[in-house]
Amino acid sequence: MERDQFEKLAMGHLDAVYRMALHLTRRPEEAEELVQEVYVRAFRPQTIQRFEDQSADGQGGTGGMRSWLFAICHNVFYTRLKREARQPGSVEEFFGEASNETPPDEAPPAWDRSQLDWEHVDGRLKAAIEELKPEYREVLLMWGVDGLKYREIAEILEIAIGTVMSRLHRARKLLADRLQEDEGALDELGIRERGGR
Amino acid sequence: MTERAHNQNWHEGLGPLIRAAADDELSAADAERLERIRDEHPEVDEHIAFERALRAACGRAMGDVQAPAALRARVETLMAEARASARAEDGPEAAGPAPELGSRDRSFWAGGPNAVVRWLALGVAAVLIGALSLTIWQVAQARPAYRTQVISFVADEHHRCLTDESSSGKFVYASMADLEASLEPMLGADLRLPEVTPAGGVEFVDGGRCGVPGASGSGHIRFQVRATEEHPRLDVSLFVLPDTGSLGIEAGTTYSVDTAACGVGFAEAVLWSDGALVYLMVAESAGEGCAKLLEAMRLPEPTDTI
Repeated sequence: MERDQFEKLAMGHLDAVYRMALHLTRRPEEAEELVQEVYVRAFRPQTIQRFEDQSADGQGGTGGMRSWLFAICHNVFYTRLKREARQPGSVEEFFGEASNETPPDEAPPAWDRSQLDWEHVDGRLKAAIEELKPEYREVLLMWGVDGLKYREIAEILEIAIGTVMSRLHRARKLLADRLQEDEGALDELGIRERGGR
Repeated sequence: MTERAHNQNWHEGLGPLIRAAADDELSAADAERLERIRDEHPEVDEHIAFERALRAACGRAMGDVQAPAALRARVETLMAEARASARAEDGPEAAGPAPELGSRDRSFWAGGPNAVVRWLALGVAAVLIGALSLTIWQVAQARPAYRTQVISFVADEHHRCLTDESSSGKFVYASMADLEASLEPMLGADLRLPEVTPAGGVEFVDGGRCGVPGASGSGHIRFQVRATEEHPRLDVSLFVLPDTGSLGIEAGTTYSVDTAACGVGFAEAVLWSDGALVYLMVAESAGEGCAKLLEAMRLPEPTDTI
């Protein structure tokens, strides 16, 4: 791949990478720094060569570029976080919590769709998403916004597909629970669980 | 029925199955299994619907983010620096042959008390000539080069969104009203969208935000032109971005784009500006997608080619 072509392809995913960085860091300035570091790494000749090698293996292409940039973004973010975790006053909250990765076998909630008003739920959902742990927001973003498949997310994060499914399940459940917590808000938002609640 | 009540009769493993169904991730065997369960538990469809609605809502809630223009500019600078650095690392041969100074009159280049002054004067002259040439070249090249970049991007993006299902997360607005409400504040101007109806043969499909290079914000809106005896069903994309003048087009003129010259001959494209916005319409080159949509927008046929 010509360098020009590579650059064009990479720049085409700047919004998606920034979105990912912002959802990981939650701070615009940090997100901008992270994005710059991602692209500095991406534009190194040896990195371009690695991407070309992957493309030759059938893992490249347009979707491949985005996944590849996401993987760099993920790695840079967590490397920084681990580095900071070794400093006094570290952010143990991200790594200290033991979590059972097995998805509980429970039903997702059922709603009376005729009563749903998702447009009005968006603001509440944004707030609930902000409260999720970064690893949950990360899979949620790749799944909800970028439409990636479980397999693609697993490859980017270098985790098992089952872990992706588990994190997605937990994230979805947390969000659904948050939407159900405030019954007054449910009335206000026009959401009504089937059969009344 | 409450969630607890649902769970009382819940099949083992049905939760993950429902979520996988909502995400179109079911294997053939699991799809068959779900079908069998559906006979006994028709409410699974509501669970699936909920999961899909939640996914779309997450897409809207999280997808409403674009890289700031200043960041884009910084990354472009980083890219240029990395490119220059890579060229330098490739060695002197990559930078072109060394000047053959030896063929010049040695007395001019070396020796004598004024040699340093002569070198400095030559350096200043070279810089001035270089800067002047660069300015002239930039004025002549910048607009067409940027235009080509944008056209190439939108044609590729149109094609990608048709063929790569993972792009579907980008299109979070299923109604024109929602789309306008989201895009207009970002674009800083009123959108002018075609008045389409299924009866008129053109339908609005969906839309979302997009990252057209160099634009502070942009939108990507999809339409479908119904199949007729003359042509199959056609997919048409309408990209819209603020008109900064960088594309070098005149208001009031509809341009047909020479896509072959832009290296995207597989597409047909039409370009125009209206108000403070630029519109770029892209369709497969095999059909009349742009013409149909232009008609729906009551826009004239292209009168100029770029």
